[in-house]
Amino acid sequence: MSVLLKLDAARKPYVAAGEAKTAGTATAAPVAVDGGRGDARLATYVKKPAGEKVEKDWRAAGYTPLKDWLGGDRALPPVLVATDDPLTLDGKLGDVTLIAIDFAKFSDGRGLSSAALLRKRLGYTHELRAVGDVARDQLFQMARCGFDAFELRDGQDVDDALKAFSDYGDVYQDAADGRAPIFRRRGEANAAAEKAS
Amino acid sequence: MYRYDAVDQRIVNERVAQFRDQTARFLAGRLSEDEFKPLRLQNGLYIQRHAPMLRVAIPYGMLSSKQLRMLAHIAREYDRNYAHFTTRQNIQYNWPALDRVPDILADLATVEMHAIQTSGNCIRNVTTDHFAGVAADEIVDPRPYAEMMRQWSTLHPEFAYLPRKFKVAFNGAADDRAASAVHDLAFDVYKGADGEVLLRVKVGGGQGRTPRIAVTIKEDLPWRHMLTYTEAILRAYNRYGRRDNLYKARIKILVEALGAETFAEETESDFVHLIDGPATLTEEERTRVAACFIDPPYLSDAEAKADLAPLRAANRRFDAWLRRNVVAHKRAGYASVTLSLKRTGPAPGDATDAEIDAAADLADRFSFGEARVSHHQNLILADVARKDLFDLWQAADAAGLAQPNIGLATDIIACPGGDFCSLANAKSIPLSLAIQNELEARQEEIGELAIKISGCINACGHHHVGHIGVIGVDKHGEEWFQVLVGGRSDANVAIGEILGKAVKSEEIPALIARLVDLYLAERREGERFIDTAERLGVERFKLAAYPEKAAA
Repeated sequence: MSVLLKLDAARKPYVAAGEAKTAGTATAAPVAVDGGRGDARLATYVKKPAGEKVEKDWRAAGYTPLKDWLGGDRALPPVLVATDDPLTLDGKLGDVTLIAIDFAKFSDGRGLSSAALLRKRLGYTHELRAVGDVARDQLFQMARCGFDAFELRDGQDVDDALKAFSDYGDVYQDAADGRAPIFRRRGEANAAAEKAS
Repeated sequence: MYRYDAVDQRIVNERVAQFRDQTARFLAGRLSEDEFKPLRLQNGLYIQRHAPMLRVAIPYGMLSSKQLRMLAHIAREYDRNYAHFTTRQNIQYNWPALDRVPDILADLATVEMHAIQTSGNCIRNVTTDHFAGVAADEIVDPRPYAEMMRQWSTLHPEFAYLPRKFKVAFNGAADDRAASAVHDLAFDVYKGADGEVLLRVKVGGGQGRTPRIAVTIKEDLPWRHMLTYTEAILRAYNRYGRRDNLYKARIKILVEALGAETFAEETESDFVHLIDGPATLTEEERTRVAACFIDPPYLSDAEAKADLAPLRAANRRFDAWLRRNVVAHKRAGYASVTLSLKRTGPAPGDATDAEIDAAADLADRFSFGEARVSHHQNLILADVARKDLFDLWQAADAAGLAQPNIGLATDIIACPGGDFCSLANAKSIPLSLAIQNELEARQEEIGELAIKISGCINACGHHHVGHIGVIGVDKHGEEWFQVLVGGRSDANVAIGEILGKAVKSEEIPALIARLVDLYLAERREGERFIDTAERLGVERFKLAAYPEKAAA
């Protein structure tokens, strides 16, 4: 299986599963499941793209597509693709302990908003796992948006990936990682920055 | 201007280290071209026609003389002794070597500058009025709000991979010198009845293939909610904006498809969960940031004023410069001066290292050590005592920065075009030179005329909002141009109308001269080109542009 990184209670990353070190080459850019069409509810004006849809076998990967999960198929934890609306889980999170959000390609940022909504709006507190095109240079952002588990894409250097979570010692804005905006803690942030320099 | 504290400096330093690491991994073959591309773009690094191009952020156009000298140093040390000021108040270098870009960023960080989010599908550099804080018609100084927005948007994790780029502008004056209505998101900053600062929120403006004027979705947002409301707008855009077609991915397409009302409802439905939350701005923060934008130690009006009439009478070039390049200041003893980067010859907005250093010296001598970049691609000295104007003019003239042409026909806005940009269909720079040559002799007679040239549909040269706009099109592999008339980017913003079929580059100067001839023949007392164009209507200009049609 691919490497799974997680954040502990102190938000420190560790290797939760998989080989501690993987070798390999970069994989070809995956194709977006939805062809990048945008949300079906609002974007009814969008024509469906021509060409084949590439559907992932989610059950083989250990997840249930959200639509089926909402329909009652709860043997496996739910996975949200970019077009899925996380707010459909409102009121249904009772005993859910794992939700996966898929990044068909890392440059599609919808999953970041889905994560932020699950954390901030729905108050979801259990594991939120990024799957799909998950690579080192997006881990810091993903963690800030509320992800605490990361199923790395093949070919990622795990040691490098572990470093990603400390790319920045401070941040300006609040997101979904519990940090307050800088302007509410400027004094202590400056003290810490001076100490770090 | 804003000064970094320790945490601002830390974040920029860490960004340099992060990009140094990313560049090293790319050069070592551990990051693919596809993976590196969005990373380098979010740091302003394009791969262009000849070499990489690095765009450096100048937040809302403000520069210290120290920063100007660093920009000159970078042009000398890492580039070919010049740089290009852009239509978004930024500066770009056309010839840096990829492996030295981290060093450039490290140098920039020493003067509180960076290249964060100057490109890529993210929130770009925030822009505003280049006369902010000094304009006589200003209602609220927009710069503290622009700075708070800059900080919030810097490395925002949720909005790093939007459907497309996202440009934010602020305007706090009666007129609109920030072209706010052609931005993805714009705020008019004004005061409510009780004196509280309010924001009029406009979304969905833009140029490019589908020019649109931004629509107001919130008339009176209290300033404290600026960031939470923006978060709701961006979340709606991030979730619902199109990602299947590059040309339909900007927020203007989403706003138009949903309708402004539905988009506003969607925004509100998220905003109600964010309002009064942690991202609600505090008076303490506004006070801290606003303290960076207080007035410099001005002389009294009596000390600063001067009777310039004898000098004007004795020196016609000084007189012309005063009329064209000097505007009123909120204080009677002061004036704001534009240093023209529109010489006939160099590309509009280009400046050599020596010229940038000269501008820094002028800023130190005459304007409290500060300068601004305008989206018209000129430099501004905002706070010059009237008694110093003649000395400043002489020094600027010696440095080649005193062309008396601001707002005139040779003050052309142009993108870098096909000489540098890999997107362009056509070369804007030689054309702008040809137009300058055509109109220079009679530009005083013509008066205010904004000519704006883009090398392609992306409209970096703002051709949609030029009184006369020119856009390059590709026709069977040849460079052709279309001409528009009637655009404007001020408070009465309008999109220009295309006059007709594209013509070859060499025919454009004569075509524009015919438009000008029509204006001169028809203008009424006090009318500028744009006034006459609006009164006559575009049809008359179509006939002037294509006389063979009129004859037929």
